Amino acid sequence: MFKKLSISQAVVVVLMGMVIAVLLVTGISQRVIFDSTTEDVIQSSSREINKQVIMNYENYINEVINTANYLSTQTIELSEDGRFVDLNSMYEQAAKLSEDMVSIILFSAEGDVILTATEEAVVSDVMSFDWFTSAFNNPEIFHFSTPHQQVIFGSSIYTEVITVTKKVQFYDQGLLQHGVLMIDLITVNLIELALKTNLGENGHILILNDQSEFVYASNPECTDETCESKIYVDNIILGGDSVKLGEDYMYVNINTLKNTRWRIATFININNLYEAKQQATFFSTFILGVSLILSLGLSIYLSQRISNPLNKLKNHMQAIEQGEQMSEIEISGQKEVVALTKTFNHMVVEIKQLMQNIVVEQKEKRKSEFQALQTQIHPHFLYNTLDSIVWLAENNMNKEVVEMVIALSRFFRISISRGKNVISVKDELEHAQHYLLIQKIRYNKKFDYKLDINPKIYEYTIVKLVLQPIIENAIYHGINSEYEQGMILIKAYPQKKNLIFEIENNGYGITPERIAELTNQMKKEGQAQSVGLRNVYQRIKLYYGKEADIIITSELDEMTNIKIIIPMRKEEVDEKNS
Amino acid sequence: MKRIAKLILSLIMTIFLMSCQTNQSKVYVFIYDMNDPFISALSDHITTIGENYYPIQTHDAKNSQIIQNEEIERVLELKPKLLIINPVDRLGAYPIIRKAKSMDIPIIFINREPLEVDLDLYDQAYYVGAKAEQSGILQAEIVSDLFGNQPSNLNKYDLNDDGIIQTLIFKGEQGHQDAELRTEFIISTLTDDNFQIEILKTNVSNWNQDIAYRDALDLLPQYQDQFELIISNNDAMAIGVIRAMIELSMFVDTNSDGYVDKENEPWYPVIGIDGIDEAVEWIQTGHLYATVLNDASNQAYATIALARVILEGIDPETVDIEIVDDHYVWVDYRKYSLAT
Repeated sequence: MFKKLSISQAVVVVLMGMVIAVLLVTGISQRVIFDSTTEDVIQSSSREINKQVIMNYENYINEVINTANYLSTQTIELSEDGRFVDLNSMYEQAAKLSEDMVSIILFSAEGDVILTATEEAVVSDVMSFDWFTSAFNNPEIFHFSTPHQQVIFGSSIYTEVITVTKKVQFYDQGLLQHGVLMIDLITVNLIELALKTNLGENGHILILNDQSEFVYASNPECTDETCESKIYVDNIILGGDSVKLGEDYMYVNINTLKNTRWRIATFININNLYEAKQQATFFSTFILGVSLILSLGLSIYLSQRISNPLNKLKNHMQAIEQGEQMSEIEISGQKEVVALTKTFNHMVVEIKQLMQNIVVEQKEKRKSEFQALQTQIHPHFLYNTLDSIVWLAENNMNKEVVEMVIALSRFFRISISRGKNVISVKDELEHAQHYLLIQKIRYNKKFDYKLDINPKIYEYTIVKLVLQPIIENAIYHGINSEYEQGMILIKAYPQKKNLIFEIENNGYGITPERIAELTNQMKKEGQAQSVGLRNVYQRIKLYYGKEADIIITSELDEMTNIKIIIPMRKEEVDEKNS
Repeated sequence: MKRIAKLILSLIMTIFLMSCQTNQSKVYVFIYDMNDPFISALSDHITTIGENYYPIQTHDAKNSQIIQNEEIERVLELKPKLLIINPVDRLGAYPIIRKAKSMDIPIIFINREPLEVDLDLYDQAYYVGAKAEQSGILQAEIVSDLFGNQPSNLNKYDLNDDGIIQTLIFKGEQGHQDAELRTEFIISTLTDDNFQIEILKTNVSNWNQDIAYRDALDLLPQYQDQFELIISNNDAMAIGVIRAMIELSMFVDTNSDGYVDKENEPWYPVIGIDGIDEAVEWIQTGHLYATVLNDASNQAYATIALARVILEGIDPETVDIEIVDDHYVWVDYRKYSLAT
């Protein structure tokens, strides 16, 4: 996976990966521990508070239920003996003992008052009230109403009460009757119980009955279904959870209150713990960030230390690859890099040595090839010329013989040039002129020639015997016309940094296919139809390299033009160059 | 370090446990109070029978609805397949039922019956238990047998031969459904069978042996030579009464053979309900005349059978239970005495 990365990148990636992994694992585990601890603290403390609240209420409710149970037992026992007076005083006593029980009344199943501990007279028909009828729905249990204004006494008492009812039995004139025991509890103490517990800022208590209706809410704004706390309670149903109420984080606990079918939900403010949590988050994020930056810096530094010497070496090698002077390099750094550099330097020395050897070898090789090519020219021409001289002498054309021999003599002088390979352009052109003269005589003036030379080029040098083979071809292939005088035109001129020599004849011309064929043969080694052309091409290429070229152009029935291009050079005309 | 080790350990444990859970559905049992001998026996039976089918995990609420609510809350987070709950406060069952309904987890209540309106909240809420009135009816049958089955012609156990059975009743918690129903049905059954019953005193001893013992020490001398029968709403109170009676020499093993012979030694009929082990011992010594067996193993069997019906979708008939009114599986009481 690191194949595409540089060493320094790989080092940074690996190091940072490790660092991030370690930091994340420790950070997260620390965070989890901290969270679970705070969560535990939140849970257990708020559960404790909730338990406390429930227990307070349970005690309160138990007192009511014990009284009610006692009264219901006494009711059946004392009524059996007809002791209604005692029973009534018992009711009154119970009401007196408890400041919460504002009225205790025994109703018959028909809603008539049998016993009452209240001075107020009942004026309403109690059978129309839910708290009365519900006692018969589940005879075994106590029924706790939601807080309401007790209206059965007419106008005088309008305290808010919770009505507790249970179906009981009593004897009326020896007959067992069903009735309802009713106890009204004023809600003041119930509310006080709620306010007793410290639930923190905005902490509150909801008490809901089995229909999820409000029995009590300690926060006054919570009165209907839209109350946010109420919605939470309806969703959670039972148990504990963290919730957010407005700006406050709360832990809500919902428990049932024994015997009542009520649920008490405590909302305890846990902002402090959340703040601590947030601080911890901030702090651990900060530490994480700082350690990340530090380790990033460190790993970059480390990777640089490893990769810098390598990069230096790499750059040096690339420079050599792009053709710069081969040289040794000094690099300091890690042991392995130094060893690598040493090996590299050793290699450079070796390569240099090898390259020098190759250059020498190549020079030797070229020299021998060159000479071999040059020697191909001489016999070829000499035989032909001597044939011509013989022919002239036989025909007693002495003047021509003399001219011919002189030209031949000059021709060979330049040809040999004391073994020089490179001669001045002037000499080369003179050489070409001698050759043309010789050939003109030989061909019995069947052709003529013209020279168009820019004298500026005389001073430059050229590999010798370049023009002659081309001119030879021009004569052979261009001057066979029986109808018109052949014409060879030699042009020589400078062009930019090159010297151009054009040899043009006015023969048949050659087809483009043939030009392509010739060009192709000229450029390849091996058999060629035109030995001369290839010979010249190979020699100028060997000597001048890619700057030199030969271009063949032709117009059918008009002319054929061979253009030789060589770089403009002034070389010492010296034997050493050969 | 210890913390981290703990954390890692608990992580591994959790993963291990979780993998266990996915393999087999765990059944959680919530018991109101393991100190209650009958409930403890019932719980043991549920574990023994249930372990054949599912791993069983039992929680003891120690008679606190708050603790039970917390336990249930915690278990619900594990998304259990089924809860078996013996509620502390049967009236407090409705939030549990609603919560389980919201999570689509079936519940079987045992031994303490939630209100019908609460069970009706959720089609997957069930109750397995005995019908309290049946125990009263069976107690009545025991009494009928003892007194010769002829209301108009009571046998020798009608001590004063007045044709009326003078009775003392030791009642469970006032307002407790079972206490009310048991008391109501023994009397109404006997009355319906034309027996004449005189209740000398209904004493509330809150299911408790020691309270019954103290109350009996106080009460029995008052009714000496009057009462012919003692009915108790459970065995514990019956045993408390028997202990008091031994102290008051109302039971005397005159020939010291370790057995009180009702035919020729001082003896009064005491009848309990539940069939706890201690009661069986008192029956063998002749003190306790009979009890009505609230058969823990039968209840446990029915509970697990219902669990299998719910979890595996098997036909109730194949496991010999009947689901009545969509929610109830009733387990019969049995009469238990030396004669049986």
